[in-house]
Amino acid sequence: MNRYSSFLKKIVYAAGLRDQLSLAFRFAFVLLVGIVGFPIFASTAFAYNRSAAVAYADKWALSNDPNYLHYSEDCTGFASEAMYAGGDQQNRAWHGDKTSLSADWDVAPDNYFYEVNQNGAHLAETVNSSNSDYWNSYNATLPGDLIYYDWTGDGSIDHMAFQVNAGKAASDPNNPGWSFTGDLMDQHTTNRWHAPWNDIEYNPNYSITVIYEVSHKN
Amino acid sequence: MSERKNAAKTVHPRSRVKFYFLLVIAVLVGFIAFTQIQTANASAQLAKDIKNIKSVVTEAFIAPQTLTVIPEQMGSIAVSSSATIAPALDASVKLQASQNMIAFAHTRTQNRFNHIYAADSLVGKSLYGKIQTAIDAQSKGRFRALGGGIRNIHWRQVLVNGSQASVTVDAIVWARVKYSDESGMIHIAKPTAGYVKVFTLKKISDQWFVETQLDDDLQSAQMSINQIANPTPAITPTQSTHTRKP
Repeated sequence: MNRYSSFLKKIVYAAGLRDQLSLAFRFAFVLLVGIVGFPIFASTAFAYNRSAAVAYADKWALSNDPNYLHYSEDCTGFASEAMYAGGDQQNRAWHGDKTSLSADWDVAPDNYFYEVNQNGAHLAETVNSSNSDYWNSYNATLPGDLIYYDWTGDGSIDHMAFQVNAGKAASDPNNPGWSFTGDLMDQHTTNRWHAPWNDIEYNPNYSITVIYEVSHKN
Repeated sequence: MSERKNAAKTVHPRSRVKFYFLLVIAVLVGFIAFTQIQTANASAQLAKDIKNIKSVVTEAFIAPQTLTVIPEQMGSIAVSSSATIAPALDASVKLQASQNMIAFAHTRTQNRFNHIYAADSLVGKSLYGKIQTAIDAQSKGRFRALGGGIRNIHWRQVLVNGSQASVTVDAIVWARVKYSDESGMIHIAKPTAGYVKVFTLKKISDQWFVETQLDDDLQSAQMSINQIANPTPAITPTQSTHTRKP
């Protein structure tokens, strides 16, 4: 072993590589610190402010924030605005303002894949009418999380809503006397403030709908 | 004698002209009558096709609302053939449907689907599976479909081209569902919503069947026929370019 070690040293000296190797070790050390340290730094530097996101959603649930462009079907844009209010950083894929909206910002399935694949969110639970959790008042996610709806269960997401604080749902003008207490959501397209998270009260296709509950990164 | 014979054979030139004129008129009248009859037949056939297409599309539109309603007991509700209004069960029915009624609902769904969707329709197969699942789920005692149907239907466009057809239709659909939450509290929801759907149909042995259907928003409803895609069922969410009103 020593023989080989001294042999290597001789080669290093002979080739004049001592300084270069030292430089390489320093570079490797800095790289290692960066690889290990950056995620730790990034995770502590980013904190999703759920309260701020929920406050934004509750404020603009029934109207449009003039700081953003709004199309007639703006469910996903509304949820993106709330996430931005909660501290999510806009980027090339996910951005929106008064003049333009990216697909990941404004289109429900695109936003789902952006959140899950690029923004650290994860699918907490998938439910449909055959799953008893579909009928529960409380779901598997928290205020500030995301709810995606596939109305026909064909695998294509059609709509999304933004989960807000739990409580008593707003009254339904089409169903006097009805009441619901549990997890609530705000949504746009058909603007709703504090509706039941599973949307059963408003969804005649409830029996074939699939709901994706997605936890936003913290 | 022979002069008299020749005189009898001779036809006056004016009579000959008159004869040909009448012949032409007769042919023209016959041709016009023939085309009129053909047009009338085609119109009658088109009217018959449109009527059948509307009937099939109506049933397809509200299949999720009507076919998931499981009768409380045999014969207690009418199984409407028009399917424009689904039966509504009394809210006092038990949440857990009986096994024989679930079996009845399965058979009814299969029979209806055989009349609505083409055998090779991917959408039909997918929807059939979803409805069967929703029927089975009512044996667990957590929810019961009480009723459903259409309140208003608007035929935006019906295009018939031989044995192919395309239909764009919007309607207000309703449902009535009874369910219990995790604390055992019973709720009754009466959801109502407007939908736009685009169907493509094909005619097989004088019967129309749904091949594809697109459940989407106004944007897709305004697409031309050539732009309508055949939706492919998938297990996981797939990319799409449309969102839709709930």
